[in-house]
Amino acid sequence: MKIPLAALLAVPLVSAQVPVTSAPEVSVQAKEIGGYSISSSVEVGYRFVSANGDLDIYRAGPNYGNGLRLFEGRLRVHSQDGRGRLADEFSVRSFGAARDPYQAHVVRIEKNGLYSYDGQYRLVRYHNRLASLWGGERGLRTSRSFQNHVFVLRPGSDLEVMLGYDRNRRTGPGFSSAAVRDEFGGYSPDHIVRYERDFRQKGSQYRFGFDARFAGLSLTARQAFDRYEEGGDGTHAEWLFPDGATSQSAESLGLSAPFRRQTPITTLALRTRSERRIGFNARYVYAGGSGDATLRENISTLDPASSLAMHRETLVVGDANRKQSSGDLTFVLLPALRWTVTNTTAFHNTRIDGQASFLEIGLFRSEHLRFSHLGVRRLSNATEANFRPIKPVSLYGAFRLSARRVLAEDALRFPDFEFANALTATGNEVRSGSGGFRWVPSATLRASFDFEVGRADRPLTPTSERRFHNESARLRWRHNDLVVSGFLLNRVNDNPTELLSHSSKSRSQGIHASWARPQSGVVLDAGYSLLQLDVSTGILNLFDLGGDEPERGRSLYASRIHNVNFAVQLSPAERVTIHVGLAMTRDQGKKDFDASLAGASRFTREDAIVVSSLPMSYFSPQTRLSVSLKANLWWNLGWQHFSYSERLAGVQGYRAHTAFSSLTIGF
Amino acid sequence: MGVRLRPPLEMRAEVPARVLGVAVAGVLGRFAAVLIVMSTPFGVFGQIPGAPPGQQFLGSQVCQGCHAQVWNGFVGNPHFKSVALENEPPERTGCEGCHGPAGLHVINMDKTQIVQFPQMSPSEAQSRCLACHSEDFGKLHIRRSAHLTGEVGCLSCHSVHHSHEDGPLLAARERNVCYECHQDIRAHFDMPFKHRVNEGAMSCTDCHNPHGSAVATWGGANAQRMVTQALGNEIACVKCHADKRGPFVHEHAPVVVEGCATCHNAHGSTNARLLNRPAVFALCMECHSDIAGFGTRGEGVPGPTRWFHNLAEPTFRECVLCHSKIHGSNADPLFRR
Repeated sequence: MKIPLAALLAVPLVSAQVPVTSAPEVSVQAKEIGGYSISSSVEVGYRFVSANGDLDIYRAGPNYGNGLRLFEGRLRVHSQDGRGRLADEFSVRSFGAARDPYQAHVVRIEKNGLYSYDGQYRLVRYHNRLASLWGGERGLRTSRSFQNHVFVLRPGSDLEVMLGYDRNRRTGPGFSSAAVRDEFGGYSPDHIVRYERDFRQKGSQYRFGFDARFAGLSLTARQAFDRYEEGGDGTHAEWLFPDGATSQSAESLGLSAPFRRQTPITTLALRTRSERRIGFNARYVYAGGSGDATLRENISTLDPASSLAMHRETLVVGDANRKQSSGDLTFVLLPALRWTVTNTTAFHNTRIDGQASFLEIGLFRSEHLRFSHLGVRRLSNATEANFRPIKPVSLYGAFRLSARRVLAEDALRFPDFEFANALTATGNEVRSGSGGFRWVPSATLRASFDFEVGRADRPLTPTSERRFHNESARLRWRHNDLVVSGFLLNRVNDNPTELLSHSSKSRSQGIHASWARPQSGVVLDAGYSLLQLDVSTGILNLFDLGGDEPERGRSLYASRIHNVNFAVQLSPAERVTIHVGLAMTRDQGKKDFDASLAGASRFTREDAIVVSSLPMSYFSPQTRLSVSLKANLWWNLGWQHFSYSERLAGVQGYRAHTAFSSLTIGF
Repeated sequence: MGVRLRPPLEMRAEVPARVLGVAVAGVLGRFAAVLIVMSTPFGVFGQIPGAPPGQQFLGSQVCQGCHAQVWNGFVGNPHFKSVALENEPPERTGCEGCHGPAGLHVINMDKTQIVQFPQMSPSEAQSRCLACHSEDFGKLHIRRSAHLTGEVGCLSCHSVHHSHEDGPLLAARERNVCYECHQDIRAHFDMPFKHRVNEGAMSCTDCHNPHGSAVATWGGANAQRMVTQALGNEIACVKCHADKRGPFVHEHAPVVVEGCATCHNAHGSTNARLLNRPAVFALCMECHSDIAGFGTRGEGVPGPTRWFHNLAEPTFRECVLCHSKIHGSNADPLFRR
C-alpha cells in the first residue's frame, strides 16, 4: 500500500507550526509479509544548540541540548484479514528518545476479539524555575516519568476484563522552611531558615475491572489501589535575609520527611446500551485515602543576628485520612428526532481529617498536637436541552444549580492549654443558565454563539466566581482547500464586597486561515490571537508597615497577549520540501501601567495600589529542508530560534539557536 | 428487524466473483444489477421487514466492487473487526454497519439510497455513531457534552476512512484537531511556560475528555470544560502531579474546593510555573485579604501577619520561598514544611 506523499504533506494542514521535531512524514511503501502489512519509518539525527542569556529560563522552557536523538519512529503491523495468529495489530510510536528533554513512546497490540494492550511511557525533564533569589535554587532540574499500561481481555465482547497499571516517578529538588525563634523566644523576619532536599516520589496504581453488557444495560466496575511514597534527604540549609540577596549556610543539617499514602478506589457505572426514547446512566465512585507522614529535622547553625550557636531538633508525626464519595445520575430523553434533553443530578462528599504531633527541642522547647478537618459536600443538578427546529439551526439551553457546604474544624493542644475552632459550615449556592445558537447551513459554513450567566451567593475566595457571564462566538468557513475561522470569547466576573471588590475581565479574539493544496505539496497556515485580561482586586497593603491598622489597597493586573502563528510548506522540486514557520507571543501589558513600571521591578505601589504586569516577548522562527535521497530515504536539515525577553526587567531573557540534521528512513 | 442469519464463510470466499458482477452491473445497468443481487448468496440476509422491496443487507464484500480503494484502506481500520470476527449482526457489521443496508443502493446504483454522512447534519451523524458507541464507559456523558450540544459531531474530529494514526480514527494529529476550533488554547501552548503538548509529551486527552466528562467535584455549577477526572473523581492534574493529591493534615482549601485553576493556567502562561499572575505575592494576597465573608469559616481568608511581612523587602514578595508546601502540608498549618 503506497501512501501518497501529497496526502502526507497535508497532515499539518491545521497547525503546521510545531517546535523542531521531525521532517514531513515520509511516503512509506507497506510490505506484505505472511498475511501482515508492515510499514515503518524512523528519523534519527543530531541536534546542536547554542544558547545564551538566562539559561535557567531557557531550561524551564525549550530545554533542548546537544546530542543524538530519535526524532520520531513509527512501526505499524496489521493483519490483512483481521485474523492474525497471535495479533492483528502491533504499532509503536516513539519520539524524543536519547537526548530530548521530552519523550513519549506508545505501544499497542491487539488480537481482534481476544485481547488488547496499550502502553505508554513518557519522560519530561525540565528546570523547575523558582524565584531568582538565593543562588542555591538555580540550576536545579526536575525529571518526571510516567507509565500507563492497560490490558483488556475479550475487547468488544459482552464481558470485557481489564487490568491496568500506572507508574509515576519524579526526582528533583524539594524545599521547605521554618521560622526560628530568636534568643528572646520570638519570631522575626531575620529568623527564617530554608531547607533544600533531594525529592523523590514514587506512585503506582494497580487496577482491574470489567465491562459487562446484558439485558440492554452495560455495567462497568473498576477497583484500583493507588500507592504513593515520597522521601529524600536534606542537602542544604541556609538563613534567608529579607534583602533577598544574601544568605548564610547552616553548619550541619539532617532532614528526612518520608510520606506514604494508600488510596483504594471503587468505581461502578450502569447505563442503558442504546438510547431510543429514554436512557440513563449512573455512576458511583468511592476513594478512601490515608497517608502517614514523618518529618525529622536536625540543624546546627550560627544565628546570624546574635552569633549564638544554635542546635535544634524537630520531630513531626502525622496522619491524614480522606474519604471521598461521589456519584451522578443522568437521564437522557429523546422525545423526538429534533430534541435531546438531559438531566443530571450529582453529589460529592469529601471528609479530610488530619492530626499531627509536633516536638521541637532547641533553645526553646515546643510541643503541641494539631487536628484539622475539612469537609466538602455538594449537590448539583443540571438540565440541558438541545432543539433543532430546522436542519441548519440548533438551539441549546441549560440551567444548573449547585449547593455546596464547606465544613472546617481545627484544634491546637499544648501540654498546658488547648485552643479549638469549633466545626463551622459555610454554604455556597451557584445558579447558572446558559444558551447557544448554532447555524450550520452547509458543510462550508458553521457559526455558533454561546453564553452563560451565573450567580453565587458565598464563594470561597474573593477571586472566585460570583457574578459572572461568559460569551463566545465562533465562525468557520471552508471552501475546497481553504479554511477560515474566527472566534471571540468574553469572560467577566465581579465579586463585590462591602470593603473591596474583585473584578476580572478577559476577552480573547482571533482569526485563523489555512490553505492546502496536497497535489502540489503546498500548505499555508496563519493565525492571530489577542488575549486580554484585566483584573482589579482589593488587597491588604503591607508596604513599610506604617500605622497600626492595615491599609486597604488594590492589586491591578493587565495582560495583552498577541499571538501570531505562521507556517508555509512548499515542494519547489519533486524531491524537496521546505517548511518555514513562526510562532510569536508578545504580552504588551497595559500602556497605562508601563510608566509606573519603569524600573527593575515587576510591580510598583502608589497610593496603596499594586500594579503587576509582565511585558514580554517570546519569538520562535523555524525552517526545515527535507530532500528525498531515495524512495524511502530523506535527509533533513532544520533550524529553530528561541528568543525570550522580559522587557520589564531587562536582564531576564535568553536567545537560543537549535539546528539539526537527520535522516528519515522508511522500511 | 432483519433476519440475522449470516452466510457460511465458504460462501463469502466467493465474493470476488460477485464483486466483479457488481462492477459490471454499473455498465450493464440497473436490470443486470438486480439480477446479480438477487442471485448473490448474501440474499440469505433477506428482505428487511417494513423496508422497500429489495432493501437488504448484502455484506461488506459487495461494496469492494465499486469502492475498492475505500476497502483497501478499511482493512486495518478498527471498524474492520466486525467483518473479521463476524460476531455482530449485519446492521452493525462493516460498511453497512454505518452506511445502512446496501440492497437498493446496489440495485438502483443510487447513492442517495445509502447513508451519506457528508449530507447529514452533525446531530444526525452523531446519532448514527452513537447507535454503537454510546455504551462505552468513556462516553457516559456524551449526550450532555459541550461538543454534542454545540453541534460538533463525531465527524468534526474523526475520519473513518482517512484517519491519522495518531489516535482513534482522528482526522489529523490530535492537537491539530483540537486547535482547529480552540485557537485561544493553541495560543497558550505557544507561550514560554506550558505543558508540553506541542512537543508531543502530552496530549489534550490526557486532561480532557472530548466526549464529555462527569460533573466536576471541584468548583460550582458552571458549564463543564470537559476536564477529565482522575480515577478517584479528583481533578485531572493529580494524575501526574501525585504529590499534590494529599490527603494532607493541613489542606490548602482552594486546592480541594475550587481546583488548581484558582492559581494556575494549565495550558500555558507567560508567567513561570503557569501562574495566573507574574508577581507571586499579588496572586496570594488577592485572596488573603482578611475580607469577611470568604474562607472556610466565612471570616475571611487570613491575611499575612502585618508586622512580619513587609512587602517592601524582596523576601516577602515571593511567598512560596517560605510557604513552599503551598498545596498542602503534613507538618505545618502555614505550609512551610
